Amino acid sequence: MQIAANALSLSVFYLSFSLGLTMIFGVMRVVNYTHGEIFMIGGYVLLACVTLLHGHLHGYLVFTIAILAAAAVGGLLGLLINVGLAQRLRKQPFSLFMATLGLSYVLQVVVIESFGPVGRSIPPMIPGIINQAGIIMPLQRAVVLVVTLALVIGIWLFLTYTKPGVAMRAVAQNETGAVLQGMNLRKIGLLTFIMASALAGISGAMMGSLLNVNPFMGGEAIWRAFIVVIVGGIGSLPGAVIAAALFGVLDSVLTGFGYGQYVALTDAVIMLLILSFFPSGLMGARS
Amino acid sequence: MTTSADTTVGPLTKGLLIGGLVAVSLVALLGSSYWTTVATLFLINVIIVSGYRLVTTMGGWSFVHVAFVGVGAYTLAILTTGANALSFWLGFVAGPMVAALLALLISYPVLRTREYNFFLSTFAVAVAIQQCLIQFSWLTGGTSGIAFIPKPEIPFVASSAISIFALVAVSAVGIVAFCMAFDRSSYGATVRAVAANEPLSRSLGINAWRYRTLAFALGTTIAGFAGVLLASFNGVVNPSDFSPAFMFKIVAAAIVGGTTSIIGPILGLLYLTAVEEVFRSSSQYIPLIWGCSIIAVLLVSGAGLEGVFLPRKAGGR
Repeated sequence: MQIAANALSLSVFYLSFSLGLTMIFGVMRVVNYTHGEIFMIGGYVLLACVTLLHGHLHGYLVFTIAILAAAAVGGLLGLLINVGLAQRLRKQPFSLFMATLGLSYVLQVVVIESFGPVGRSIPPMIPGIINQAGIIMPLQRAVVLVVTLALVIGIWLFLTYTKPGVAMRAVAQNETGAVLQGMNLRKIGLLTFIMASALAGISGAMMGSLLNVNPFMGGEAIWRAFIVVIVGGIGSLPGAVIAAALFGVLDSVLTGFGYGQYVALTDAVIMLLILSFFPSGLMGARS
Repeated sequence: MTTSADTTVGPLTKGLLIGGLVAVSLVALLGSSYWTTVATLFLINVIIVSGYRLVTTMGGWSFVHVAFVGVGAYTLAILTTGANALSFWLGFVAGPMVAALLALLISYPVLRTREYNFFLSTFAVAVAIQQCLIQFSWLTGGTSGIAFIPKPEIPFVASSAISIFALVAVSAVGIVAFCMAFDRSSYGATVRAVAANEPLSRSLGINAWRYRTLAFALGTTIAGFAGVLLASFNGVVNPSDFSPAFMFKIVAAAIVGGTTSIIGPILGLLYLTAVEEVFRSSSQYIPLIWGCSIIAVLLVSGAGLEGVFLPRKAGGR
């Protein structure tokens, strides 16, 4: 049961982070490498909020403010990347990818210079432990799980039922068709970037609250997300769900049985095996 | 668009390369030991980027290159240290061979992917290799790595720093000449043709898979060769030597310089090394300057680099 609970929380986390990456790819046909650094900065926004507010306000309130702030900062970064890079390099997606790779190093240096290269742990905002049905879980972790799950479901509903969400999926499916239907590509791209980056910022704050924050956590996270996104098929939302569940379960089982140090190796080998048979991922369209 | 005309090496390019080599050698031999170090590392990196550019001619940007530098380096380190230490020259030959075998092995899954998937899957292989170096500590020494790697003994050269520089310089000349010859050869032309239009090349009866594998394996083997030199030069190997940050430097050199000819990445590397030396006292800002340089090059040259990045599909869809 403990492993099942861990698997669920890990899968949901992988999904919350990979979802933004795959949304941007679906709409803009570009891989945003800076996604990992936005995640990392989300963690640092949480650190800043906790440092400023911890002890002054109620734990839940601090947590809520931190999540909102991380979403705002992430969204702002997404806006800047979209306007500064994505719109200019719209026609050269691979150049844009390389530019975001360069930008991620720039952001990393900025954070190292501002907060130092050493990781910081964050005091728990929501104390208490749940011990039920064979599952032992800190309350904060449970709250993070519920919030992330709600977020992922929220994005799902947004993409399925709202007008901008449907527009995003339409552009992802057929850009020319979407333009002919009078959709504004620039606006939809901007919205996608802002939403996906806000999501990355929030998942950084969530993850930071559970472990610690350090300037290099973005690299670790983006590598996870790449595996999830590639195995699922770039740009495919159901694929991301399946792959996130697959690796969430696999990693939790490995860790649960004491093989935690082999997680990165196993994941990479499994990914290569899957790519040998499905070069575009499990649910990816053949290019 | 990469055409065969772009890779014709004019007298100017040759003059630049030879002049550059003479300048680097003068710096290494006449300068202080610090500058010998800088010059040696620069030439090792020249070998790495030359191999990297060879991989890019088949139309894919690999992120596994530096991990293969690690494969070569660790092969030398494992063979030439410990109780049953073998001679340096055996490791010198074995390093690139192990890299070549491993490159052929992984080429099967990764070359089935294109563009982003290629970049991302090679990224995953790089992480897997680095994890192997860390986890199989009975062989690789884990996170502390392997020390006391021997330097080559070359007759009539007393200083080990000069002898390794001489070996590196000769190797760099050989590799750059090899890459230029490969570019001019019909193999090089076919690899570029496959990169430019794979379906068309196939319809002409070209075995596209074989040529892409050739470019990938050759370029990656060169990385393994550079690894042997790097390990011997450093005297130690460590998993963190072959980090994504190092890979970023190689990719940055190829972007800043361009990849239409061999001189591009070398110029890019020269620029990055110059930045490194100028900002030596505040080294924490170096990745920032490299990152800004990449963005600036990509934004300024606009459509100009597109032919380099995505030669197969204009517009990128």
